Amino acid sequence: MKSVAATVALSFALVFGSATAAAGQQQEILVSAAASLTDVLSGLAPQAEKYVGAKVLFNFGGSGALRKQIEEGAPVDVFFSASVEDMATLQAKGLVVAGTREDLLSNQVVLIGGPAAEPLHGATAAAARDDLQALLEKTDLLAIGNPDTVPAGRYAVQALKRYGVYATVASRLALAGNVREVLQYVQNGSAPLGIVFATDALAAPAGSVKQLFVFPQGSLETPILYPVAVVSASKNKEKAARMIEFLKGDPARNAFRAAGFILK
Amino acid sequence: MSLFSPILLSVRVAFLATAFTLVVGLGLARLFASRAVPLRRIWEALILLPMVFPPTITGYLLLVALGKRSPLGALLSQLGLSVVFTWTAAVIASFVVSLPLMFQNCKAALAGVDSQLEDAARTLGLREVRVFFRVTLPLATPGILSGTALSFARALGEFGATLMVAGNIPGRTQTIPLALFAAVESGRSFEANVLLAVTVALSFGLVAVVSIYERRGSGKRRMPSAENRGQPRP
Repeated sequence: MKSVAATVALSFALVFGSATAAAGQQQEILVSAAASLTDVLSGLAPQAEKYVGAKVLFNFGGSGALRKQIEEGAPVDVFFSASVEDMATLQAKGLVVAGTREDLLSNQVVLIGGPAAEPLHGATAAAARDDLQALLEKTDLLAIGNPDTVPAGRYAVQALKRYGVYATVASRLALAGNVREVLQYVQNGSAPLGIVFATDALAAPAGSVKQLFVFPQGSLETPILYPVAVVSASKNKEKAARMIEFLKGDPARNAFRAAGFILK
Repeated sequence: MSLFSPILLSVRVAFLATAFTLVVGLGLARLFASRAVPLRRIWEALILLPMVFPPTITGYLLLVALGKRSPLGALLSQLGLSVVFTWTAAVIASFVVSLPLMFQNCKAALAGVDSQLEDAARTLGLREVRVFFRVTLPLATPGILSGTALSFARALGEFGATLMVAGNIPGRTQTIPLALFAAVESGRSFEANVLLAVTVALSFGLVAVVSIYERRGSGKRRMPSAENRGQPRP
């Protein structure tokens, strides 16, 4: 029993000792950003800190969860959402500063398959539709994000309906918990086909998946947009605004373009 | 650096959360075992709730409870304390989800102690507090230890509730499970493999520590117990 107590005491010392060392006094801003922006924003962090003149921290998660956190008063300075709806909800409640919203980025949904799959070649819209129909009739499984919770899944359903092929695959959909899971399914062959964002397809290891078809932006009811805005509760709105300014600047734009985003 | 910070943070969070669950879980188990606590079943059910809830829901409830709009959160923020998005929130999340495991194990461990031994200590004039620390606790140690191991493992693996209330802030609140998830999601397999290896090493270490204590504990308790008193030793 004594040695247990000693271990506990020792671990307390270790825990608190290192905890106090970690506390810093530097000015910082916190950006809550959609999970799909993780890679590109992490890479931009050093340049962003130089531009903003403060430490820039990111909180990555699903846009819905990030919105919920802001609604409950989490100390966020900038919200960079992958969904227009979540931003609109915060706007309606006055939780983001009116006039700071910018719809910075757009994306596309693409049909992907394994490395051996054949890309579609339909030259006209009608031909593309027939090709798509034929391909989907042959497949036994199409992976998409769960349309109830995953934005990419919602867009996938919209695109499939627009092309009139939703009924063909409705009974053979594998619903994934998030868009990267769809990518995993296709990468490891669990599903022969999947629908993901163009940026996800680009992020996959070279040669692991093939892009078969890009759904034109016009085929979606609601455009894919990534809005960013300053959070009303921010204690440092000036730096937060500078962060958005940085995201509109050239270094950020180049990084977004390289990751496959479409710039607005 | 990016790999080191989640590892350090996770160990810190899991240790602290386990220390708190040990004190609180054992205390509650003892309280419920000895006294007629009103509405005992309801309290027990409440403690067990995080076991039933999906962790995200537990995290959501914690977020609401600690957020600035709740009375508790408002009070804390008046004191200049903001819990949401700090590693304290990660400790709280791990504490809440691992408490049921600790509580149940301690309860079973205390119930398994032969009450005749405790009574004997009382007849010899030992006060209640000392009966607990000198007789009950040593006899219940194996069960409490396994509860501690389970709680630590659960705290170390905590994901859903932490994500919600502590956020996923690399270098600040990103624990091993969160970093592991992010690494897998973005296809950074080297990072994922390293974190996986560390997790495996930590759990092996945990099992090793527990078994060492168990062996030592069983070595110490060689005095005749109630069952074999008077019987010839083999």
